[in-house]
Amino acid sequence: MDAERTDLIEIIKQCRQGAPEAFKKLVEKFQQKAYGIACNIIRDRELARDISQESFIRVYRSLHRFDLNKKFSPWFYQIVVNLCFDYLRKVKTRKEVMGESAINGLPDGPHSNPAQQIIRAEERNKINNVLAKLPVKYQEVLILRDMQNFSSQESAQILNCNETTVRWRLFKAREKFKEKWESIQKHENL
Amino acid sequence: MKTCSKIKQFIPLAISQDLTETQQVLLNQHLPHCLDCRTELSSYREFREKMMDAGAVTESDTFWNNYTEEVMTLIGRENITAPTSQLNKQYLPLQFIRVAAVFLIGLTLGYSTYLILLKKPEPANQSFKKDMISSYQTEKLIENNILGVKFTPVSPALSEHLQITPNYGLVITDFLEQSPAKEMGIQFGDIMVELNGQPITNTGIFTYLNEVKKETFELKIIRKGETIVIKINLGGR
Repeated sequence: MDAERTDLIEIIKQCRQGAPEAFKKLVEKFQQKAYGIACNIIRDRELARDISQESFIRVYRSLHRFDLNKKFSPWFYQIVVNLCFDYLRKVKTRKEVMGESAINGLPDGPHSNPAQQIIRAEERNKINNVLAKLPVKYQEVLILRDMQNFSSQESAQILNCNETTVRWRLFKAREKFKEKWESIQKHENL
Repeated sequence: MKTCSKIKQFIPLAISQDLTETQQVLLNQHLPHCLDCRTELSSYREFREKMMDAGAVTESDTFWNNYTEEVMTLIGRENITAPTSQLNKQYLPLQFIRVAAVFLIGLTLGYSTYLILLKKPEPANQSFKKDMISSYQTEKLIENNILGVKFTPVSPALSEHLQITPNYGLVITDFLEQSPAKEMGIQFGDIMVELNGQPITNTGIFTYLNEVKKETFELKIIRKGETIVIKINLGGR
């Protein structure tokens, strides 16, 4: 067992004993990824913030049920993914990312100027719109595998299915994404 | 050599090292000879880069500090105690309610089963209803340990047919095991009408048998339209 995992187990044990400082460490460790996943799925930064924070509260409430022999991160990200898609199912219609929010979400690289940021924001919008047209099972794998860069094994653990299923869905999702993207491009060029 | 169309199926997964070793080897062998597949591969790579860029979310340090503090405040505000102690405090009353509910349901089901299965009239009585006085639906069978018989009151229709006073007489419908009445010659379907000259009404006969000290009685019965007197000796009881 590696040192990082041992540390994490120790933090979880302290959380179970009701130590707020230990839970704070857990939040700091996983908040960026949780918020990132929520942003990619919900595409509204304020909502993503609320839902990812709600995931931490759910985790705190059910931490006593977590099996310490298993990996924590897939268990936690599964909660985030489920909460986000549950939310989307409830509201039915997905909100489009507004240009301004997308710009604010971009990394502030040394080469980025306002014009470049606008172009990238538009491209992000387009990607998100194509993504939203895909079935949920394809959105899930694309978000985890391509946007959040989880491995196929990690994605399988988060989605609670086997790796072969993830690979098959990924294959179909990328094909469909490309197909839809190209059809939109063709439409725009007409 | 694999055809181009088969190799193309590997391309969507090739951009993220999701191919098997054999598939990767086949693709590597094919790519240098096929411009079409190379173009396809680079377009998938481009998509992935765009996706990764779209997935990247960066926020300031202040944002993350506030984020953490908000989570901690939410946890504090909800007054959530340590998960393990929460289990004890919140779940114990719930468990008690569940156990009580299961017990009550079990009790209800058990009693219903008892009523349905054990309190049901025996088949012999049901056949009697069909044979003798099927029109008389309100009969109530009474068991008695002295004579060892089961009986039912004479129905109004039967009273009329036999020309006996209404509400008098009892019809033998069944016998218990080791029935003294059966040993003394009483038969199924006999109608007991008088005991020692007294008209028989409902259960009054057994009260009389229990109270009077006599061991020998004369029982008048109607059997197949004929009146018969049977002597009952309860000396051995």
